[in-house]
Amino acid sequence: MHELSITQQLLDISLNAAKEAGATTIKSINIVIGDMASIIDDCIQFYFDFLSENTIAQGAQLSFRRIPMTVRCRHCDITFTPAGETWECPQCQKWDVEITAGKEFYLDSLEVE
Amino acid sequence: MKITVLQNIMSANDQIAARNQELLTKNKILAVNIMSSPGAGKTTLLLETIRRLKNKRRISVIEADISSTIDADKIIREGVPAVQINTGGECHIDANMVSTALEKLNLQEIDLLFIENVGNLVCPAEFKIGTQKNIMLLSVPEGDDKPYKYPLMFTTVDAVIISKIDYLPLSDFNIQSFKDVVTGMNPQIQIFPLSAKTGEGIDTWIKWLDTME
Repeated sequence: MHELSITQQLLDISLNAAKEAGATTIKSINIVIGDMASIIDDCIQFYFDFLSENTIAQGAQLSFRRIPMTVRCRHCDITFTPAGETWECPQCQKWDVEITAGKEFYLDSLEVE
Repeated sequence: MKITVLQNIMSANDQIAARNQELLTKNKILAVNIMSSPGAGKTTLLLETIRRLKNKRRISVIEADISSTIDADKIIREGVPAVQINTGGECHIDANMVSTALEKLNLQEIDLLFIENVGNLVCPAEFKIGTQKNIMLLSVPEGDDKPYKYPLMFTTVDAVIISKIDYLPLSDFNIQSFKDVVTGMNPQIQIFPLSAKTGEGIDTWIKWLDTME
C-alpha cells in the first residue's frame, strides 16, 4: 500500500548512484526483496514509470530478485523455509526460531550507459 | 556498464528516524509507537494509560490518521497536548511526518510521548519512526491467528497487548497458544492481556511502561 513513497526513495538512490558514476542513462535497476516485505513488484514498476518521467531513469526496466523467508531453529540450529502457516522446526518440532532472511529490501545494482 | 549500489531502499527514512531518536533521547523523552489494526482499541488504551500516568509523567501524544482530528480531540480533553498528523491517504506514518510533528511540541516539557500510528498491521512495520519502544495491540475479536498472517509486525515490536479480553468468553481466542507462537517468533517480546474497558490487566502494562526510562 505504500509503494509510492518507497518508489520515490528508490528513484532518488538510483539517480544519485548514476550521477556519481557519470552515467547519462539508467537502463535497468536490480532490486532485492525478501518475501516478508509487504511490497508488490508490479506496483513499484507502475509508480516508477510515472515518477521517472523526464529523468535519466525514464524507461528503465526494474528487475526484482525475491529472497524466501528462512528461519533458524534455536534448539537444533537448522535453517529452513517455513512451509505454510507453521514455523515449527521440521527436526525437533519446537517453535522457537529466529528469522535469518526474508526482510531484505535493497537496491543491488544498476545497468547504466 | 553495471554499478553495484547495495543500498537499503528505506535508508532515507531510516536516517530521519535515527535523527528523531537522537532528538528524543537528548530531551530525555521516552517515545512509544503504538500500532494495530483499525478498531483494536489504541485510542481507548491510550486514554486509560494517560489517566493513570498523567500525574506522574509529563505526557504528549502524536495522533496519526488518514483524516480527521477525532482522536487528537479526545486526548486534548484529558488535558494532554496532542498533535494530529493527517497522512492524506498514506497507510502509515514515516519518520519525516514524525519529525515535522516533533517541531510542534515543546520537547523540554515531555517525559513520555505516545505516537498512535495509522490503523494497519502491514505498512507501519516497514517504517521506522525513531521511537525507542514499538508496541502493538491485537484485540480478541481479531483472532489468535494474526501472527501467522502478519509475521513482520509481530517480530518488529517490543510488546504486544492482547486487548478487549472482556470478549474472551465469546471467542475461540486461545491466549496460551497465541503466547507460544509469538514468543517462538520473538523471544524478547512482552505480552499484556488486558481490557481497557473493565481495567483487568491494565496495571501490569502501566507498571512495565512506568519502569521504562
